Amino acid sequence: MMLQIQNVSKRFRGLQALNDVSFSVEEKQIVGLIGPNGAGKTTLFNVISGFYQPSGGEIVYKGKQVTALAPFRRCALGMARTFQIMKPLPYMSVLDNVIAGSMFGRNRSPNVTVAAPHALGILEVTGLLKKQNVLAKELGTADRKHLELARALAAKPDLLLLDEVMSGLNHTETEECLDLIRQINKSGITILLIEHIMKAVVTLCEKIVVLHHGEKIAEGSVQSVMNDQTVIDIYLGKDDDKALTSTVN
Amino acid sequence: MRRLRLFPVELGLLVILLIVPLFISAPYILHVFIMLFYVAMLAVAWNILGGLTGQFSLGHAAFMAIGAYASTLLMIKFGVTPWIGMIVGAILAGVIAAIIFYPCFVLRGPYFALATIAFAETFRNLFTNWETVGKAQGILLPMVERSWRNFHFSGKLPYYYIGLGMLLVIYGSFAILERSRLGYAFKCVREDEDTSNAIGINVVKYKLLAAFLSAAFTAVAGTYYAQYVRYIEPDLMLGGYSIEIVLPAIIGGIGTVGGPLLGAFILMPISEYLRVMLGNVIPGSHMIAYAILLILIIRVKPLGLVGWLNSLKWYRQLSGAKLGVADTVKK
Repeated sequence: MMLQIQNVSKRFRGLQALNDVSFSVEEKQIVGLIGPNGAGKTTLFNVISGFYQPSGGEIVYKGKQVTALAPFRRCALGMARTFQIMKPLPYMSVLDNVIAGSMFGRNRSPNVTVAAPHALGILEVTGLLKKQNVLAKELGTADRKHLELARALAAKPDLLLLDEVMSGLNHTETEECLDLIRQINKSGITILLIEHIMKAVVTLCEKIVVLHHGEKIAEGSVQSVMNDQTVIDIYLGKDDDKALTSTVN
Repeated sequence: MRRLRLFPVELGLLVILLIVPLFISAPYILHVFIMLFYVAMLAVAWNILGGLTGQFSLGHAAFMAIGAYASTLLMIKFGVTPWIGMIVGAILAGVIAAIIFYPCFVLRGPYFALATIAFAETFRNLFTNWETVGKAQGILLPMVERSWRNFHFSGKLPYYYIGLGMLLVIYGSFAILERSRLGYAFKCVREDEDTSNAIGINVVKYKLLAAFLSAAFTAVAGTYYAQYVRYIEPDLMLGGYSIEIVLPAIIGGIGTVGGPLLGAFILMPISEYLRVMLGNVIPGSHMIAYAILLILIIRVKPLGLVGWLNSLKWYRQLSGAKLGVADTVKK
């Protein structure tokens, strides 16, 4: 078992952002986390990666209790994440961004001479090789998303948390990104991803978890979740107009 | 490749500085160079915390004074050679920096800077009222035998070469640090603390390390100052001196390797010239010049001269500077 989320709750003052959420991610799986805006997906990511302390519940990673560990310690164990609102190291080059990823985390390259070839390899895979000398702040949205992914990969994770790496990408870019994620998964990395693009979720994920108002309302294979009446109601609105539902289905 | 391409500038400068005393023996000119080395040392040391790690300290004059006082007191009270005093002062300043700044590191940006000003003021007041360290009169270093052991020489020439050597060591350390794993950690912390945390960097640990190193190198320069000027006083910790440490870095380029050095080489001659030419007519005119330069740089080229050069594509290609690790690896 790669990751177990056990009865996780998170309360911000009056707002119950997560309420008793439990599910698990098996090794080498791709699991999709979906739900409407404000469902608590990113909050859950922040709890998993250690940026938030949960108000209740536990995170077990590779059989180890990590609930109290700081984010950098979880990263050293092999958990790497991307940020939905991209957070590059702005005044460093694309290459230096990835070199930094390679020097810390689980990879721990001792110096630039070791880290640079590793980073260049990752830039090649993520299609950023040509932009290696550009400052990260000068990148466009698509490249920034790729950089998030590249930097996370450089840490040599075994669990990758991807927070909407495909939003804002055009059709071709999305296709490329799907291929890339499959490739990453094939290399043995477990992936938990948040995504709004249904096509991506449906084609990639073996398992889907649906959050709504901070609660898990469905979990299972793509088929079962997509046919779940509650999920359909939430995504399409509770509506008597069966015609609408059937056209979408 | 990058190193080979950039080194000529620094090597050329070093060679020139090495032979300058052969042609110029006027004590005043040597004095200007000595003070230039001293200011450059401070600016490079400040750059570790303020530039590389992005923690803008305006209290570094206090670390300089700690270095100056520590070595001086050790020599006067216990007869310890200033060379050892220099190391003790460096460690002391580093530890004090780490302890004092630790609670301040939760503060970001200007709030951290304000806290460092308060810290320096506190230390100045402490030293002004502390019997053992000579109170407000400060300490006049005793006339001891002129020898290496006592860090005391006749004439300015030995100080010139020692200053140059120390600057070389501090500058070299910074250049190595900047490309090392430690340097990357510092830079990541400066760029984005959340991202640093996410990629496995212990932000607090590296801030403390940066504070330690920066304060330690600053204290080393402080010992040099004390031994050269041979008079130290609590007012060395005044805010104005802290700012004079920061200015070369801002004008040359915060966080860059060569920036503080370049800044010092630009500022010192200007300030000395103005002091000599206008010192009697308009006292403090060098401060006005500093202010004008500072405002100009911040308005026009906020990255500083070296930072601005690095942002130019043609310059990057020419020098392979800053972003050029790739060249080294691919070939």
